[in-house]
This record gives sequence, structure tokens and C-alpha cells, in this order.
Amino acid sequence: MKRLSYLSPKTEVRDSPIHGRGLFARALIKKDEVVTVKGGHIINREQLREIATQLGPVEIQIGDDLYIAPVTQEEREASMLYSNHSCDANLGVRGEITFIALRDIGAGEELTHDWCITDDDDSSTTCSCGSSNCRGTLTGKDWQRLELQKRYAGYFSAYLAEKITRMKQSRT
Amino acid sequence: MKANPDQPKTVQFDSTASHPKHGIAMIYDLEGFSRFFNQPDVQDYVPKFLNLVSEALSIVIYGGKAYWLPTGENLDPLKATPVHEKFLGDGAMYIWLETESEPLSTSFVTTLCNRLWNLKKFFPTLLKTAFDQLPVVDLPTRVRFGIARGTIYELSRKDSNASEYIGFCMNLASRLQKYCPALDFIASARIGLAQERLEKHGYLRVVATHIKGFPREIVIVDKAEWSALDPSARKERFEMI
Repeated sequence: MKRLSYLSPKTEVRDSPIHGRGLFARALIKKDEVVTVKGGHIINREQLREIATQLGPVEIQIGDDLYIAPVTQEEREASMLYSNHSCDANLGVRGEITFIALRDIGAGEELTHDWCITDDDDSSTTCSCGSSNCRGTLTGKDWQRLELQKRYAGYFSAYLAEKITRMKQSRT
Repeated sequence: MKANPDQPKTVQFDSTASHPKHGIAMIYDLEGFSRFFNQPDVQDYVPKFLNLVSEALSIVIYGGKAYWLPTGENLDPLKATPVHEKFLGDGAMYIWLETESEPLSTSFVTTLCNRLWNLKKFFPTLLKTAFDQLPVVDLPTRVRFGIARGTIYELSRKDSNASEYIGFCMNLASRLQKYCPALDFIASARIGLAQERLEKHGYLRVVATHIKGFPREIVIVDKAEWSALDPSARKERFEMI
């Protein structure tokens, strides 16, 4: 099946020390260079819940009740970004579905994004990404944490960036 | 029927709450408070005891001599100050909101948890001080903490400049504190204690499986209390990670 998501030709998918398969740089990727663009169907939370039982975690959240995801097993592979979570990520988001390099990334490095830049829900899950600053537990509200807002400033999904702006206003 | 405008009113709030804020809620509860009340002339002793506990919490938060610690050391003030303190009858709730000047950093969370953990552990020393001062036979024997982190909304009261706070975070802290009576320290893993510090500081992460409204909440408990917990309670309420 034709790919639904875009993966830069400078990337490759292979086994990851973090989890399952991961996305890796095959060549130098410059800061702010586009690495992947998520493709799929626009669905809501209820639809996601149904899909997740079949396909596992395949979505990227793009709004309060909006996600982009494959909806069939056939589409799954074609939509996957293979970008694992890391608490010390090297990818950020431009807009809501375009993932770009947070910094210059050398060939061989695993390409990861921190779920806090895309997710907003009430979940919590364990993390064993192995980074030195691993949070151990990831929550769907991590985007609210000031230290993460600072670390990933300018690289949050657009709908979260708006929320962060409002939160900043209410802090003052 | 409309209320008489001159009639006294119960609490009224401004029509809109704040935008979501982010913070930490800590609730403590004193175990055995009802028994305490069943003693003669207890009205003479309740305030003194509550003040003693409240003073200990003040030392934890604002610094001072932590006489209950074996070292009796002086604690520095925490790096963030609570914005709200509410007495709850047999305990209290404290709320910290994250601000630019007072970020709720990993080191703040670790210090807060360690100090509360120590207060819980060495509560018998505080009780000894209380028994020295109060001629009663029964005092609350334990203090139990529930801690959570998350969204908080601020409500402005119409009748005063005071604010009230509601939200996910307080609900979770309250439910955690009551979740397992045998555990005196239970914090949501959402608080952001760094993984590498958990083992070092004597904590353990497990999944609480039956907290109302929070299915499969990852929580942090005291490893020693966990070891002493009845296996059936462990099985009924928790899963290992």
C-alpha cells in the first residue's frame, strides 16, 4: 500500500533499543528540517478507542477531540511514523502533523519525539526510554509542566501551543 | 421561587473560572481523630494537638527545626510556596500552583515528598511531644498523605477576595489519601519524581487499579510500607509494574 505518512529519505526504520521498531537518521538532519509528516484519517476519541483495540497506539493527537490515525490494519504500516517517545527527544512539531528536527541530528541517532508535545488527555503510563532525564511516568498533562514548556518551546503542536499561551496569561 | 435578595446567601462564585492552571495538591489526614474526640474535656486539647501537627507542616513547607527527625535538622523553606491551605476537619489540603518564579521542579517535588515521607515515618516522635503536653490517653496515631499533580481551576468568590480551587488534581489527591488505609504515603506518579530517584529514596511505583475515576493510576508508595502490606490488599488494589 502507498504510504500515508511521509518519512524523510534521510531516515530508516529498524529495531529500536527504546521499543519495537524505531526511526533512525541515515544522514545528518539539520535543525528544523522536516523529518516526518503524519498521514491518516481524522477521527475523534470515541473512534480512536475502537481503533486502538485493534491497531494499538497509532495516532497523533491534533486537537481536543481530534486525532489523525490509520483506521484499518492495512493502513497501519503505511501511516506509522515509528518515532518512539523519548524524555530527551530530538524531534518537535510544526503545526500539528509535521515533525521537524529540534537540533542537528547525526547519522545513526534514533529519531524520537516527547509525547508531551502532542498529547492532552488524562492518561498516565510508565516510560523506560532510558534517557538520563527519563520522567519514569508520562501523563497526558505533561504539556502543562513549565520545565517541559521551556524545553520544547516553539515545538509543541499548534493546539497545545495555544493552550500554553492561555496558561501563561493565567499565571501572571 | 426566587430567594429574597436580603436573605443571607451560601457561597457564590464569579461566573467564569480561571483558565486551567497546573499545580500540586497535597492532602493529609489524621488517623484516629474520632477516638480522640471520645475522651473527657477533649475540647481543651484538640486545638493544641492540631496546632502541633499544623506547626510540623509549616516546618516542612516554610522551614524550621524538624525536631521529629533523628538528626533534628533545620529545614530550608521549600522552593515553592502553597497558594492555598484549607483545614478539612481531621486534616488539611495544600495547593501549589506552578509559576515562572516558582516552578514545581523535580527537585522541589523530591524534597516535598521526602519531607512528608519523613514526617509520616517519624510521626511517633511528634506524638511523644504531644503526649508530653496533653493529658490524654488517645491521640491520632498516624498521619496519611495523598499527593497529586495536574489541572487546577481557580474560582473567585463573590463575597470576598478569596479563591477556591477545584479540579482533577484535588480529586485525585483526596482519593489517593483514602485509597489504602494501611499506606500512609501515596502519591500519583504524575507528580514528576524522577525515575532515578525513586529507588534511592525508598519509593516504589505500582498501579492502583480501583481509584474511582482514575483507572490504572500509577502511584508511588513507600517501599517499606508496601512490604508490610497484607498480600490480599496488594492483590485487591494494586498491580505491580
